[in-house]
Amino acid sequence: MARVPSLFAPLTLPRRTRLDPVRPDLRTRYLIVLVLAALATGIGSTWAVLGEKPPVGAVRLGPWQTFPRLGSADIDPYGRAILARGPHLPLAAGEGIQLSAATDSTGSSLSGSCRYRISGATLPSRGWTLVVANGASKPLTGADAAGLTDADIVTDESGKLTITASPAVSSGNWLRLPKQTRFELILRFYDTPVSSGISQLDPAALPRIDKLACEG
Amino acid sequence: MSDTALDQPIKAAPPDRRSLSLAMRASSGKQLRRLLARGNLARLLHGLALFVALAALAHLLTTLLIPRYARQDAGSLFVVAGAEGRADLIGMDVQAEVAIIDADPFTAIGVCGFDLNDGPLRVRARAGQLPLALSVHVRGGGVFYAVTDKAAQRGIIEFVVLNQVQFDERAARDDDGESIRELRVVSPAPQGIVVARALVRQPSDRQGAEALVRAMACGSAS
Repeated sequence: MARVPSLFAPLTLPRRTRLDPVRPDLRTRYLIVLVLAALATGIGSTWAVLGEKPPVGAVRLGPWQTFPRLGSADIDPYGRAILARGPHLPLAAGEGIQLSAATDSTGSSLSGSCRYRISGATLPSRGWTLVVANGASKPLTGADAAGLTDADIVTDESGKLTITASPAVSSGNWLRLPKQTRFELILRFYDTPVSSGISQLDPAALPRIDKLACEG
Repeated sequence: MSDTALDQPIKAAPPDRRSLSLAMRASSGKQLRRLLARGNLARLLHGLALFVALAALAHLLTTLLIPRYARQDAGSLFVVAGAEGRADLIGMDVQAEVAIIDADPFTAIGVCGFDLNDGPLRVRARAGQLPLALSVHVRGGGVFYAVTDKAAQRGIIEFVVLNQVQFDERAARDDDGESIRELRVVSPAPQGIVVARALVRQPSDRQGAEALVRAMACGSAS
């Protein structure tokens, strides 16, 4: 009957022989490679997971996504590590809500070669802003910088908004988009009472993003 | 000497494809059988378990240690801001080259750094016409307190940031039966920043918003 090896068999250090006093034997080499590969995999996976947004804790509301724990005291370790890797100042839970959209309401990626209609309700707040950002959620700067606030918008009688987002000028409420590039929309509501209950929010309480047409 | 068969170099007959394939199959089959032998399989599974456990441990440790050794987070970069007792305006007074990754271009942001090893910090800001919020962020990332100007008393938002020991000392000094006239916020970390953020809804609001956040006072509360 074959002998079952000890549970710690690979951990058993080799005995040095008189003939080969320093060269580790096969088992030790196997252990060293295993440990190094495991460390590289562990550290590499941390690096891969810590992107611009935390891998956990997202709340999806139609095309919009938010990470409510990022601005609260019970932030998860991934969120904390992401904040630690760069100069971030997330909105605190009692301060407001930040939502981002990388897709329209049908799930297609937002593209600067298309025209979109952003329409619907907004959350009760003391003010909101809508900013065009690059794929990494960083607001566009320089000539590409674009955004609106609630003070720039004309709403209908029920308070609902309709904004046309396109690279070319449009009548009515217009949000300029960067040409031919992918982008994200960042919507922030300041001092809103729904900060704490965002996960229970009906997506209809936020604007829809509908694609109208695309070039080419 | 005449050329004989013995003088010719020995040439190995090239193996035909079929026999090579059979040999390889037999060899790999043998290897597989050897691998799947009870002892080796157990050793392989053990090695795999060790690999997964070590990788998971390395993943967990690096995730937890990044905030501890971070030097590029806002709390570390701006910990010396507000040394004059007033908030420094980001992009104007401090670190103009440091861009806040997720900053809203429609806000004015002022910061004061604190180190509670030097004593508690008193924060005082004036509410104005524009929406204003104060939040307290710790070094290494994370927010633990926020208040908006709706909570202002007679137009003033005021609180004291302290650690647990300082809080207990203050609580012991409080006279029984007397109402405490300050809001005390216990920080989970000794260092961090207080952020004042004012909304700029129109370009004409910019100057007022910057004045509002610069007016946040941060001083010793000892």
